[in-house]
Amino acid sequence: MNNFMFGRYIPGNSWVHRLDPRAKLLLCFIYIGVVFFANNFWTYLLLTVVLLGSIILAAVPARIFIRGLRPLFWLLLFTVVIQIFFGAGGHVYWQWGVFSITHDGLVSAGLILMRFVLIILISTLLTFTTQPLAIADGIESLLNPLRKVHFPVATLALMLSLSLRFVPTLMDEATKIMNAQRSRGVDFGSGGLRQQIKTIVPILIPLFVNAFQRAVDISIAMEARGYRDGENRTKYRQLKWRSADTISLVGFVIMAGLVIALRQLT
Amino acid sequence: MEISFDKVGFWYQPGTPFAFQALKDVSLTIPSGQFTAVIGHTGSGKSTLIQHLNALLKPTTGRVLIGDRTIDAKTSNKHLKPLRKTVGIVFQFPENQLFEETVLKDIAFGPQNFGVTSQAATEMAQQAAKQVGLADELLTRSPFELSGGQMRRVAIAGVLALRPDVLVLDEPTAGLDPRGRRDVMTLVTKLQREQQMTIVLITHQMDDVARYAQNVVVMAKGAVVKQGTPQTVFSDANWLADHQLALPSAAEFAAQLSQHGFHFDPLPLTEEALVAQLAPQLPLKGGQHNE
Amino acid sequence: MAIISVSNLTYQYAQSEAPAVNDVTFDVEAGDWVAIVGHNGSGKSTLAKLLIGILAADSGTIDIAGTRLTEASVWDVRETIGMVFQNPDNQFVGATVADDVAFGMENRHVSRDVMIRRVKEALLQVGMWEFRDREPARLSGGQKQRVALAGVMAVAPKILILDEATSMLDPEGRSDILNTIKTLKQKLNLTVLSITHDIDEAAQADRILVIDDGRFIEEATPQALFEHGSDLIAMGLDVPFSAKLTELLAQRGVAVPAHYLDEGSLADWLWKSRLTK
Repeated sequence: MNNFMFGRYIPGNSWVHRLDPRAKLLLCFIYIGVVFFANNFWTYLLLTVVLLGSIILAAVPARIFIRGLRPLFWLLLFTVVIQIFFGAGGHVYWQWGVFSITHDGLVSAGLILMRFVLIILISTLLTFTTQPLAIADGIESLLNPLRKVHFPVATLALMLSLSLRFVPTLMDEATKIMNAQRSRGVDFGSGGLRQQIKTIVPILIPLFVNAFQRAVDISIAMEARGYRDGENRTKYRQLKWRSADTISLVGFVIMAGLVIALRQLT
Repeated sequence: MEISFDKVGFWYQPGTPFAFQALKDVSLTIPSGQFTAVIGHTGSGKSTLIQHLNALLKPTTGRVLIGDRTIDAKTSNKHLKPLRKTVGIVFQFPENQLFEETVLKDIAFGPQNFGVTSQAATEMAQQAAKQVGLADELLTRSPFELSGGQMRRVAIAGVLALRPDVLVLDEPTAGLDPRGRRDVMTLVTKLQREQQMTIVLITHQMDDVARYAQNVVVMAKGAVVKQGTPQTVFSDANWLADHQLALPSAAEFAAQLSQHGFHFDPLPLTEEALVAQLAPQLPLKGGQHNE
Repeated sequence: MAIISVSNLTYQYAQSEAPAVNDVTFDVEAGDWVAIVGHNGSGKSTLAKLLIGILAADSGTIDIAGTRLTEASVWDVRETIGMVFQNPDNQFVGATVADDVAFGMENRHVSRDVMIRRVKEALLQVGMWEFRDREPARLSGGQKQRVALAGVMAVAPKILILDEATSMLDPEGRSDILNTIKTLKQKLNLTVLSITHDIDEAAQADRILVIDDGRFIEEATPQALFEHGSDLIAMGLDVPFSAKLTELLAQRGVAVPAHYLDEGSLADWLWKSRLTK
């Protein structure tokens, strides 16, 4: 569990680390949106170059990105295989019943793979360089216009930041409970499926019971500290939009324009 | 059963930006049938150390000898299970691991995992419940209805039911009230004295170390900085102060009295030892003179 | 006038057979330190929850700083009370140290400029300023409790309630927190109500109230209470080291002081006694 790199924050002070989380969220949305417009070699090349440039600016070693991709390997492989066998059109290289390998199938598998990898890498870049809490702040700030329609933005943001705050605590607790049950002879990861499901119970029940007790304690502590409702509170944390944020945003908008222009090349 | 560490090093998350060395070149011996206390500050590596005692963790470098088994980085994860039965670990706040419908079933959970018939497991559980002093009427209750001190005893019984040779306890009295603390420590010493169980106790209570332990292992920053009898470990007040470790209350008080002209040799570690040396230096009640 | 005035307070949990708090009456004068002791399950923590209106009493009244605690006044009453709970993890609400200290002020609509100043002041007071950007996962229990104290101090309450605030800490963290509280109490003229079974914490109090089965069974100064010697265990307290020693010496027929003395005074007494030999 501890070796899981996907979605984790890697402390640093690079150019990307220092960007405003709102800017990074917007950049990420723009990039992912544009990926779906890419349709030929040049558009993918441009997107890849922008991504690699961002990774270099983030100063996070490439091997860590690769580790981040590893848990998604089977999902990627599965998608590609489905596309290869079921995609139809163009020259047929091989056929067996409903399965066939065609030119168009190969091309679309390649494109899907490319899109997947780009989207995963840009999201990983966001989580590697932005503290979860900053992401929550960014989301809250971007959702601010919804306050006008009485959407509980602040409450939602507090819920999000509280759950993020307790992720390490709960992970820690899960590890402790697993260790305790392993010491009582539970064998994780062996035996058949039924056996495996049975080993989950002694983990999940204590975890739920403790989490529930914790929730009660936390709500009492929050109330004792004067928490009444989420909306009418002042805010200690503040985000700062700097010129670097505007520059990168403009850069990504230009990239989006270029991708749409390059689409015409086919 | 004896357990020994031979130049053990352990890294968490090696090869990632979060890599962290929790144990450095640890060599130590836990003698069979004796009471060993492990002391040191929070974060000194004590918790990592005890997870090596039943191979929950395997050393990154060096090796751990548990009875006739050798565990090193290359040891396969299979066939480690028998170790879990010979070395029982009671973790910190062990009541957090309870999950069964009834107290008895929870205590019997361990034995059942080792292929004991459910009848035999129940018998083992009943016996363990008796050892920790749980009343019979509690056995059919849900563990979640019990008080904190009772839940703690259920959790300890759950490990004792495995009938381990070595019992490891990580701060078993933390968070209990004085009565609960006394009950747990009485139980632990009884297990060692009456059943010759090997005890490993992690604690911050120096008075407990002085009173019960035969060996003390002092950890700091992932390394063993001292091991020996309580008498040797507590003899050097300056060294303890340098490592921000407290003296047992009796030794502390004796040191205070020494400045007032009292004389102690050796330094008393328990109240009884202190009184034995102190009484002859004081006048008797009613102005009689002490011989 | 008493800053906390409780009279005939009774509370019973829905599924239980007996009241957890049973006809309890007591006053705490402003600036006093009062300890409430009792073994686990004696009703101590229920009392704390009643005092800040987390639970509503079945009968009886609570007046805090001249305000009667009711459903309507509960938020005003909470403004005057700061509370530190037992589990360091379950009261750390903020994502970082500074955020957590600010939490109570955010609830009270304090402006951001004032918050920034007070967060710094409060963290300096408890010696946690250099950890301001730390996440709770990277703090020890004692450090988290100090942050909880800073969060309380930042909203400048009149009363500090400690609900077994040191029971999950190691001895070092415990004495650390206790010293911080002592300093803060003096500096801010706080009234302290500590619910505890730690002997060192109880020894700090001006008065100790002993609760058992939901009732107050004794009220005394620490000096007087510690005379009980080994009976203290039944009250949920440890026997002080000096009391244990005095008892053992008396068993050997040695002359011992007639009343409870703390360690320092006992050492002096023994020294003088030795001179008469």
